[in-house]
Amino acid sequence: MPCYFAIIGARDNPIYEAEFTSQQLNSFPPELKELNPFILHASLDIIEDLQWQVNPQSINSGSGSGGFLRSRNSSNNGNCYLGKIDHFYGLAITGYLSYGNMKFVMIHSSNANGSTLAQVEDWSVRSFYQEVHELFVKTLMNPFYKLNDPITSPVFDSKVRALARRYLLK
Amino acid sequence: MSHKIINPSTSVPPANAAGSTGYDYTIGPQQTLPNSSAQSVASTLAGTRSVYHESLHPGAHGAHVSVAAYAFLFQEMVSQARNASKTVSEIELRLHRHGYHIGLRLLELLKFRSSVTPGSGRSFFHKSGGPAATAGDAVGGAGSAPSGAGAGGAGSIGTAQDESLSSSITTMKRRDLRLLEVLQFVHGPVWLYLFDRASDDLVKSSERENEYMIIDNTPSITRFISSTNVQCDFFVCGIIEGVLDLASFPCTVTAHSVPEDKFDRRVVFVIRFDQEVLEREALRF
Repeated sequence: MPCYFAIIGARDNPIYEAEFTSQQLNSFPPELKELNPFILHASLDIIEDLQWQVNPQSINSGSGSGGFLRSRNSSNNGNCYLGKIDHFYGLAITGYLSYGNMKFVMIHSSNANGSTLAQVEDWSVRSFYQEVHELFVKTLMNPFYKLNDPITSPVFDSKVRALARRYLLK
Repeated sequence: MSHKIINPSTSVPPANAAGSTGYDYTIGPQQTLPNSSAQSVASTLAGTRSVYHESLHPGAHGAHVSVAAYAFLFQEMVSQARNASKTVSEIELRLHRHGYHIGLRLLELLKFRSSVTPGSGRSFFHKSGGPAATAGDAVGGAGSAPSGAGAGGAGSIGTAQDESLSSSITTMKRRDLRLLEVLQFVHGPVWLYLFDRASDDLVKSSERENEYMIIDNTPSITRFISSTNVQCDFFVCGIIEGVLDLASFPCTVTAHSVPEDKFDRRVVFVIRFDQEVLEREALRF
């Protein structure tokens, strides 16, 4: 399924965006593609609310798939990965917060156009976010990188895409 | 941030720009190209070592810096700040600003490192095939901490450095939500990383609700500085403020020299949180 991924900085500015599509999986339809940033930014309010919840996952997973089991499993550990935070006409939106409160947000789309709700595989999405988080920390280690600036490094870009291929596009 | 003109968005990505240039905010998100071109990008970039090829593992680089080298660097920083400023408070502000950027980075780095399960250090040195190999290494190598010699060996392997740490993370450390949690983090791990020991005390002010104090009896970085009219510990203030700021606990930190009978160099770092932090604390918890 195609995904739209963005890292949102402290001033709500995107510091990195990418679209993960491939040939065998259909991409976002061009007329809806332009909406992605809007949909993503609309979910930022929810993230900012969850940011200060003690157990962000257990609160909103009630309506999600397998919410009961998941909330039992992850009730006491980890509040970085927020799980599925929002949905919009069949698109699912997941979120992740880094320790410095950088917001990692992704829109998942189902293959069938808007008819069924996109399914999110928590485990692989969480691993993807963790790996990107590590890349982001590495970016910070660069003394010439200023916080909240766009990440323009081609190496970062290709590494994130490689991760997306490994975890998301199956 | 340099400002460039943001072009009107196009549904069609510009030809062969994707993948080779990285993210450009004037163009917007780029689609993943088929695997073949991505590999060619990877091969063209293979020769250049970037910050992304280094490991975040604490053993990957030398864990310690000698005091002499550090004192030399710090002395240069102080004199540079001194030459560039007109007043004492400006010197302190400059040092503060230097530290601030370190603090920003320390929060992410230390938190991320502490998420890594202890004992998985071995899997970093031997390229592991998958989760099974990682688990095996974690069991086998639990006792042996990576030493300086081991880190040197890893440098010669080269490919092992590409390995990401996140594969050995099972659960990420929690973000600090409460004021006390984040202060404990500064008092413990941050001090431990910077000065090899926890700070001597963490006290809440009895007079003001939003004031906390971190006390250091023997400040390491200013131990060679005898002058007292310039408070060089403002560098550490900056680090503390950077950590707290990024964790969304905005505050101002000041250093005060408060000698006691045994410790004549004792420094008290006064952390004054903004009102919004207390308000949020009262609302949420």
